[in-house]
Amino acid sequence: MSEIIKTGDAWPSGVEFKYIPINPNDPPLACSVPILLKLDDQIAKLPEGGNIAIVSVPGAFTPTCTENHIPPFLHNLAKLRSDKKINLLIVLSANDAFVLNAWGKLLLQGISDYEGVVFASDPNAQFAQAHGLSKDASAVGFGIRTARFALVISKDKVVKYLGIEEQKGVSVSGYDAIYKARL
Amino acid sequence: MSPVEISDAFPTDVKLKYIPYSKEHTDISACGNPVIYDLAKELPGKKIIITAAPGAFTPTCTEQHIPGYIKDAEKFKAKGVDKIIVLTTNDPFVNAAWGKALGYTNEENFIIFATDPNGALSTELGDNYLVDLSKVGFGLRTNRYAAIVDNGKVTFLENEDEGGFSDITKADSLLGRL
Repeated sequence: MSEIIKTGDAWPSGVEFKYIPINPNDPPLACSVPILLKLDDQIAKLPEGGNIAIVSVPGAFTPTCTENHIPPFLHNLAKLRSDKKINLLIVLSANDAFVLNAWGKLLLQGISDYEGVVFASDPNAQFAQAHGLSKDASAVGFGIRTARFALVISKDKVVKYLGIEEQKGVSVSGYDAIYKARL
Repeated sequence: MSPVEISDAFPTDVKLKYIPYSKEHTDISACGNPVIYDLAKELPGKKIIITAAPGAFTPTCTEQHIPGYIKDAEKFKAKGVDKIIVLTTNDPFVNAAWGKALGYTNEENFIIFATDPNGALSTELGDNYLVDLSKVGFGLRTNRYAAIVDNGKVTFLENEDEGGFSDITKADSLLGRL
C-alpha cells in the first residue's frame, strides 16, 4: 500500500529494517547475521520527548554519501542527543545489511561515542517505495534505491521533519538542516 | 534463450562497470568514477577468468571464495590469464570498496571488481545464473559461478548449487582447469 509521508503525518506502524550491529573495532570484513530493526519497538523504547532520526542515502560507499552527507551526523552524535533529543540515528539505504555494516564500520572509525547509531537496510527499498521516498536508478544498473532524505520521528509517532533532496547534493537532508529543524 | 555452453562465444552485449584501483583512492572511503568494461573489446585475444558472487561483503564470498583468487593472482598470470573479473550485481562503488577491504590494492588491476548491471549478463548465461533474492531483501543477485573465456570462447562455465561454494568456483580448482 502506497502512502506518501509528509511532515506532520502520523508515522506508519509496522516498519522494519535489517541491520548488523556495528563494532568499529572489528575488521572491515568481519560480519554476522542481519537482525530485524522494528521501528515500533524502537519508538516504544524512546524516553519521553525523545526522537528517532532516519538519514537515507541512495548508496553506501558512493562519493556524496561517504564524503559529505553522513560524516557530519556521526561527528555530532552528542549534540544531536543533547540538543535535539535524537536518541537513535538510523543511516538507511537499500544496500544489504552486509554492505551497510562494512560501510558503517568504516565511517565510525575514530569516533569513540557511537551509541545509538544503526546502519540499516531497507530491503528492496520496500519502505521507501511505499511512502514516496524511493528513486529508480535501474537505468544506471543500480536498481530501486532509497532517495536522499532525512526524517525525524517523535516518541508520539509523528513525523516532525522530512527533507527530501530534489537535486544532487546535500541540503535539506543534511546535519545542519536537522540541527536547525524545530522538533 | 538457450544457455551458453562450452565452446560457445561468451556474450558481449552487456557492458560491465567497475572502478579501477588507483593509489589516489587507497582509502576504502575514497572512490573514483566507474568506467565501462566492454567485453566486446576486451575478450578477443585474451584469457579471462570470471568469478561471480552473490554479494560483496557477505560471509562466504569474503571469507572463502574471493580471497583465493587474490592469493593466487600470480599463479593465474603464470598460466596465461590476462584478467580476473570478480562479478556481482552490487554497484561499482560497493564493489570497489570491497576489493580494497579484501586487500587487493594493485594499480595493474589484474583483478577487477565489476558490476553486472541488473544482472543482465548473468541472465544470458543460463538458468539460475541470476537468482531473485528479493524475499530476503537482496534483490537480483548473481549466483556463485566461474567461467574461463579464451579468445572470446567459453572453455569452462559452471554454476554452484544455490550459491554454495565448492570446487566449481574455488581458485585452486580453476587453476587446475587452465
